[in-house]
Amino acid sequence: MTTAPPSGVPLPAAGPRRPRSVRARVIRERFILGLLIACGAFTVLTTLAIIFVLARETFNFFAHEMTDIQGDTVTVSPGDFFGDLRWSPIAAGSRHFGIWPLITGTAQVTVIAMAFALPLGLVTAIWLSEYASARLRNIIKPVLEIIAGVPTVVFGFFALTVITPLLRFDFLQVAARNPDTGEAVLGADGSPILIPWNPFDVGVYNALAAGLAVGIMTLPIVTSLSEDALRAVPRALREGAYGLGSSRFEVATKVVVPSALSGIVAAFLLAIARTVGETMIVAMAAGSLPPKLYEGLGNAAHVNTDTQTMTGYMVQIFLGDIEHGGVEYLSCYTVAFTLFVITLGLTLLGNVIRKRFQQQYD
Amino acid sequence: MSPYADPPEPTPDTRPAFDVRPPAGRQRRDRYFLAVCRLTAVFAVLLLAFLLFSIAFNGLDRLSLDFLTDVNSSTSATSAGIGPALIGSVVLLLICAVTAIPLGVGTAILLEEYKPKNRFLRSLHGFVQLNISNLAGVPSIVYGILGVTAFANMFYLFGTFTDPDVTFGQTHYLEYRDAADNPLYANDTGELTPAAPGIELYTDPARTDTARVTVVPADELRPIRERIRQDVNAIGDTIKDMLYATRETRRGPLVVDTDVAQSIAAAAFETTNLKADTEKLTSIVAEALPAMDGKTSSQIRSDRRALVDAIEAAEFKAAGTAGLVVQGSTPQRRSARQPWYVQLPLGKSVLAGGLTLMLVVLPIIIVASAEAIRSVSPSMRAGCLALGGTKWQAIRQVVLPAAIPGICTGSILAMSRAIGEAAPLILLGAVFISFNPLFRENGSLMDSFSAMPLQIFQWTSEPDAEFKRTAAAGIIVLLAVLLTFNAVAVLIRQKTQGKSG
Repeated sequence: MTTAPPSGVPLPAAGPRRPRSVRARVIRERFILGLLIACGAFTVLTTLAIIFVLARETFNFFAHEMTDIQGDTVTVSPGDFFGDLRWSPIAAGSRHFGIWPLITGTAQVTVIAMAFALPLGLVTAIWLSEYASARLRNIIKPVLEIIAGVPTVVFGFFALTVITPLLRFDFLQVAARNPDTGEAVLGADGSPILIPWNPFDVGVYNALAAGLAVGIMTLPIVTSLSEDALRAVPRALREGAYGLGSSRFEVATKVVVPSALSGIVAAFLLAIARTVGETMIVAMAAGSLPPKLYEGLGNAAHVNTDTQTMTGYMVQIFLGDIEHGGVEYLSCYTVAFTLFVITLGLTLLGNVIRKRFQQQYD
Repeated sequence: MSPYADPPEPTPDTRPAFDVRPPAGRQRRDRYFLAVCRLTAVFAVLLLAFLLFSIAFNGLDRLSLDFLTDVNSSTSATSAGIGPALIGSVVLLLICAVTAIPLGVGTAILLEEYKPKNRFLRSLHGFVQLNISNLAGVPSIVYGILGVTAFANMFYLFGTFTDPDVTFGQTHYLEYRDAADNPLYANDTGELTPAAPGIELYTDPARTDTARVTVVPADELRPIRERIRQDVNAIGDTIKDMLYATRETRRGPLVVDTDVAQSIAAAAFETTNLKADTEKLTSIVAEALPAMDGKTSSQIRSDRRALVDAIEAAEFKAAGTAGLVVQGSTPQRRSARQPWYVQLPLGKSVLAGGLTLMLVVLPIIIVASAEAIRSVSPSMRAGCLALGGTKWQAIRQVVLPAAIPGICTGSILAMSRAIGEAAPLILLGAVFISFNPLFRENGSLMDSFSAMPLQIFQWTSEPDAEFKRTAAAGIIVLLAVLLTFNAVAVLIRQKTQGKSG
């Protein structure tokens, strides 16, 4: 590394030209530095503004009595928020403000998406770094970059118009079987009676389609971040393993992946953070009924019906009629604050894990 | 890249360099895994192909030049267009680029060039970097909320959108109406002064052409109105007689077709002394009469009354009541906005939307620019400083020109991300807009807007299945725009890397 020479040495120009004012130069340098610091301060200001805006409205949500469109008043305590298993803030009769159904909805979509994207992404990353030739890399990497560049509304459209009809496609199955012989019951024309049968039993809005679309969208992120982590492992480790007679598979699974584990885990956490914050796909394809946890915790596993995530709820409120300071408005901000805390926690955790547990090869 | 930069490090080839064949069982596992990997890669490619194909299949037949350019997009599925959304997206993008790129590049320069040695400042520096990487992970809908509070409402510090505290570029004027219902304009004095003799009125909103008006008390207008009414009623009676003459029997229905209507209209106004344009009156009557064909007498009566009212209104307008303002009539306050109209708070305007998008893409631009600046060789910087340049001279004349290609590609990719963002704009944009306000007469940056992703979202949410095709066509346009952006970025990257290589 070169040592930087003392900066801003205000030497007057040598030669036949008139020496320029030194003081003006110093003032100009200071002014430019001030401008740049203002630019840097703007980003800090943005974070502070986000925290301030969300925290203030969340405080208002819990502290004051709120009115709704019909004019009724309602108060919510943090105990209600974290203890209730039902989320129905707009229902006029019985309002419930438990956050868990929305978190469960988000978790449903996230789990499905990650179950799709994490294994596939990791396998693709291993393939790209250990197996693939340069020519194949030049095909696959642009494909992944294109998928990464597609806007999320397109994936939402895809989920609603392609994935859901596919999942709802009716296969035909035999209507009834003779209990003694096991043969199919024949109809009037001598062939077995068939009825439509859908193996997935999904509704028009369901968490499964949304989760799959989010998974497809997240696949490139997982792949590229994992591949960066895998490539950071020095060749010497690999060469050593090959020298001891390992196959490529064994090198990949027993040497490279364990060494790059911190980076891979960080990549997974960042992908999860991205999935939790995903808005448009779930707004278009997942529906607007959060899982009915109050009827039984098992409803959390029903991914074939409507669900609503935190972001989906925010979109629902945004598109409707909201008055400033009313229940809908404040509940929306509170959900946004919860979302922000979760994604911030995941991002920070990912950074910490990557820095703290990174193997040093020197 | 400059020819003096070190060549970029080749990505390490981590494949084994020699034959690595282990015994059969483990080799078989290796081959199975390779097959799994190949399947996965093929699956990814197939997914993308399936995605693109399904969109093309749904939307290609809806694509047309009208779809792209029609500025008034209607609300029916087959004639809806993406014109307003496209224009909105372009304007948003421009605002976003103009604000985000200077801010982002400035922050990147600060982070890369001005690394402090002081321990406190160094921790501050690290804090700013941590901050930026956190901002990159914030969901975009949270930026939307921040944009609404900070830009649209401005924390309610400047009043509300409909009653702003600060405006710039807006002029107010008063609008009076004369007896013939023509508008006349006056300067806004702060009060709605009723019309009185000696009032200054103009014929155009820009108040350049003085109007010659006479302010008369209301009762003076009455005889004029009576006279006109008498004349028009006489004409109405003539028309009635001629209409009833077309009947075949005494109580039968009227028989009026366009030719008969034309002749009746021509005959009615032949011997009148109305001031209105005879041709116009003739056409009014000729259009209204065929509708009476075959109607009952009560319907005919009401139709006739409407026709007489129409003639009276036309005559009223054209006759000597123009230029007569009733004394004591109160004006309305109107406002005209220049194209550079700006108000605080910004409200749900294009400007607020563009600034919100700026927040979304700022971390991306900062990271890309920082990387571009970092890749400039330190020896160039040192050379400039050794020759006596100041730090800023080194940055402006050596580092930035070398880093421009990287900054350009980073910015273009950030802009392509911005064009596809819908979540931040949901609260700000008018999702149900069908006409683009920006191209109205009074259009300015304070108007509401739509954007392509928002429009696609709205079309997809419509219950009518036909709208899905329209949405698919919109997606094709959006993807085409994105493809152009990425192609430009790739071209820039290739051209500059080719130059340095």
